[in-house]
Amino acid sequence: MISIRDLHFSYGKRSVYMGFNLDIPTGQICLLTGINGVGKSTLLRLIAGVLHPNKGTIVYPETMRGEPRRKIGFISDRLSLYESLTVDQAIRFHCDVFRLDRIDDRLIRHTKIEGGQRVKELSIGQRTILHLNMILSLDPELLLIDEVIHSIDAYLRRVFIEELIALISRKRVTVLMANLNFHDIEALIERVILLKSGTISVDEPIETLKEKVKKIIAPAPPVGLTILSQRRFPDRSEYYVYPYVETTALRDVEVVDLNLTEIVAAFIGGEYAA
Amino acid sequence: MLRKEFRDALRRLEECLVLLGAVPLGYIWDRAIVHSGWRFSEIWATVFAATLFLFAAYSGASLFLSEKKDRALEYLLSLPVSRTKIVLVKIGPRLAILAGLWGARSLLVGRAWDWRLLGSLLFLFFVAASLSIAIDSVVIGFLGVVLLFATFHLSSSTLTFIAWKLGLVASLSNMWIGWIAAGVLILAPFAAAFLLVIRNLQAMPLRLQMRPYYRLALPSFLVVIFLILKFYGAYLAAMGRMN
Repeated sequence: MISIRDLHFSYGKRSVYMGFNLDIPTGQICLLTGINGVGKSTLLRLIAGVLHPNKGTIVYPETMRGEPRRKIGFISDRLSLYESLTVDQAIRFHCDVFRLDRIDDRLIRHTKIEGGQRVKELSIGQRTILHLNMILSLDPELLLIDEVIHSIDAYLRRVFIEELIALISRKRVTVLMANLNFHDIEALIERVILLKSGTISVDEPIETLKEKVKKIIAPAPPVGLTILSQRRFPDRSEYYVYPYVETTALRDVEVVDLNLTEIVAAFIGGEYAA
Repeated sequence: MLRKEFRDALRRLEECLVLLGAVPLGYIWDRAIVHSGWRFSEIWATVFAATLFLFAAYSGASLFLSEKKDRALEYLLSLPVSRTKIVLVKIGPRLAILAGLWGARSLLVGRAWDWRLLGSLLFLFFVAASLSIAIDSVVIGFLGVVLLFATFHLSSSTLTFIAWKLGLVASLSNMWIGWIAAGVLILAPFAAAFLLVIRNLQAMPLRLQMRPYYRLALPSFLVVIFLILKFYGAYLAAMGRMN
């Protein structure tokens, strides 16, 4: 279990977290979401150890103690790598640091990345695949993936997700993904954590969330339910409610199930409207 | 990792070695136009020393150049490598090349080991390295190094004068105390600020992490400037009287 306790963090004078707490059981696949700038990437960077909390602790599972970074695979939205190195040099550098003889570069070869190409010459998708390939060679116990999936093309995205599924089915790896686009990864996700102003506003298993968030199509706002956000059309209005509870007042209205993208859009839409 | 740093250091050296092109040019210039009678070996020794100074400053100032230029700081910090090791791996190859060049100069120029030159080169290198994380632009960093080096020379005279006034040295020409004191007074706060920043280095804008420079290096630098302004004139006057 990764345990975050009383986490405080700020960029200079701008506070992002003030007493944040979170537990992530080993092997769980979590989606971290929220409006832009809410601190998703910051939280991933704190867990990855590239940012330091001003106060508070991040406790890693027993198997990761000592040097947790050895067992963390972190793909940041910046896709930070030595851009002036060639792919071969970048891989050699990675092998040197992690004391590996070589890495299985099947994925790199499959995606037509040449060893002599400079990293800066690669597309975002190729760079993501290179990064993923290097990270998979570490046999990580914790994968932190920032918003990179939606910036790569459909084929590479499929390759990326297939590799992810292969890793998850092979070992109990904990995954924390920050994302705003979910249709590709929805089937993988077990838990959704929605951040708001440095705190957790929603933290539910995905199935529970799907039970609790519904779209109600009705001429007037549903009575007795909390409306997250609403959309008005000339002929009807749509109300996104959470938590949804069946009541007799909803007899003549249409209740629609939502997918994860729609659920998160409802929450985020509500935040922007507020 | 060491391999990459050696490669980076050699690339910096390659850029500095361009300066050696001035040796044949200077010789031709002297033979064809100036006719001052400079020997080839004199031009060679001077230009080689200048190359050493350039490399010391440039390789120090560009210690984190690849991380800044390649936006790879976050990647570097995500690796299971301690900050101390990062600094040592970066400094080691550059120092090895610098020492090798200094040794080569001693052999090629045919002089005894020039320890004073080595001291100056090391001072220059470490001052430049201390600024490498704080200043983004290599050019501004280089100018900063030149400023600190000039300050070092002025303050070493000033501090020798103060030591002479206090009776700690018998003569103003005995500069050793001044050199050591100036070296410590300038280098120590910058080096301490550098190490403090590195120890807490994070993947956030570097300008948000420069507090040790403002709190430690800048005040001590201002103290040195104050000492120069206050005593350097008196030092010059005393030197004038002696001459």
